[in-house]
Amino acid sequence: MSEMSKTAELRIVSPDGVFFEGRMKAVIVPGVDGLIEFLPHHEEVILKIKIGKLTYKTPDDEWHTVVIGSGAAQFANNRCMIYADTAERPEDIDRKRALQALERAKERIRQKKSFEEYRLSQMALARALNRLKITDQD
Amino acid sequence: MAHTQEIKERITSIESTQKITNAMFMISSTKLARAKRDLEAIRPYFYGIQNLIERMLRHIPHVEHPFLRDDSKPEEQKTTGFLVITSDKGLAGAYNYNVLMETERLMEGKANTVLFVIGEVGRHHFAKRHVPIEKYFHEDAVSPTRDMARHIAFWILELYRNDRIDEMFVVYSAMKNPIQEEVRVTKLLPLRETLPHLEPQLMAEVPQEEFILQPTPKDVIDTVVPSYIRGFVFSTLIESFCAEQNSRMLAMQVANDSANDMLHDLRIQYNRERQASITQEITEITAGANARIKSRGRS
Repeated sequence: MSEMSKTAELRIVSPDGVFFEGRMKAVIVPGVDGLIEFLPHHEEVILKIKIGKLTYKTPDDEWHTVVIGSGAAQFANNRCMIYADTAERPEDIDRKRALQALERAKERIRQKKSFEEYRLSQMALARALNRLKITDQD
Repeated sequence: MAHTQEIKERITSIESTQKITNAMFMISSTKLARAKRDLEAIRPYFYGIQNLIERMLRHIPHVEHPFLRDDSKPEEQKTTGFLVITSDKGLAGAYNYNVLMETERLMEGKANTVLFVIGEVGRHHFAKRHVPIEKYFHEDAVSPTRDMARHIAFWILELYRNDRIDEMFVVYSAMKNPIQEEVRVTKLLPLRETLPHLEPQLMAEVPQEEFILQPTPKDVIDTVVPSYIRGFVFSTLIESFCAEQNSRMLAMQVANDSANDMLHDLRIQYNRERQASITQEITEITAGANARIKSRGRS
């Protein structure tokens, strides 16, 4: 097998722009029922991804971590496309800001506003927790 | 001398107003440049999601989902939601007016309407006419943020899921070309009519790839469609913001130009007035001097 066919194309896109575009040897995404790994020439699939941690291996066998929001992954024709609400490098995350966001969300939940606002606060809480959790490991 | 003083005061007053319009022009042009960058950044995401949804619907054309339902309800029982995008500040030419007029025109033809308003100008407009506003969003940031788009999209989806609205329209402005903007109306929900490429004949020609949707097609649609709506709301917000800044730039440009014209006229008038008073003084002095010479010669 040639070097090219051992890898697949990976594209991670968020509303901030194209986060990553290049070749990869493996991607692990947070699926609904747990982590799911895509290797080159995976079968064609569209997958819901949860807020969490995405990791990918570049052709130099280096693993990279991305803090990712909810979205979808699509694998087709040896191309992996990830569309997520947020995509950030752990080192770019401002822990102080995430902590503040966490406190704000908790406070809003405590105030027991309407059901809709509760859901909105919960989404904010999940984002803040995810950012803190992943930056804590590194 | 009193008259020249008045003209001078007017000139200073126009000059200081011109300083303000000039500053507003500069501010708008920097804001516009930044908003254009944001718009470029979101494009790959937005079109990517759109493609993904189209692809999904091509492979599973018969999936049942509230986001994709057909508009079978009779027109008079329908509730229509409108998201109206206006600005917080005026001084932007016809920018707000056009959007508001278009909204009113659309609302007239609908049986039941629910209004979502962005921007102080729109809120004020509907409050004055006693039109109830379901949700008002205040644009407090320098330029539209993703948080704001997320918030707006959340409420649209919430009302749609709870069957409070059957369809959703967005009324916004966009730049047609650098000197002209236009009002655009886009139907956001239900989705099947929004995406133009979903005609069945077209689908038949596309080679069918087998796609697996995990965990279930419904789950995937549940995630992807809100992302699409968020992306859509964000890009219309930015597009409107660009149009607003552009429209303000033009308005300020016109104000600057007419200030220059006025200054030009006033300066000519001032100089004439000054010249006239000097001439008069000289005439008076020479007349006085002549009178003295004459009277001296007599004595």
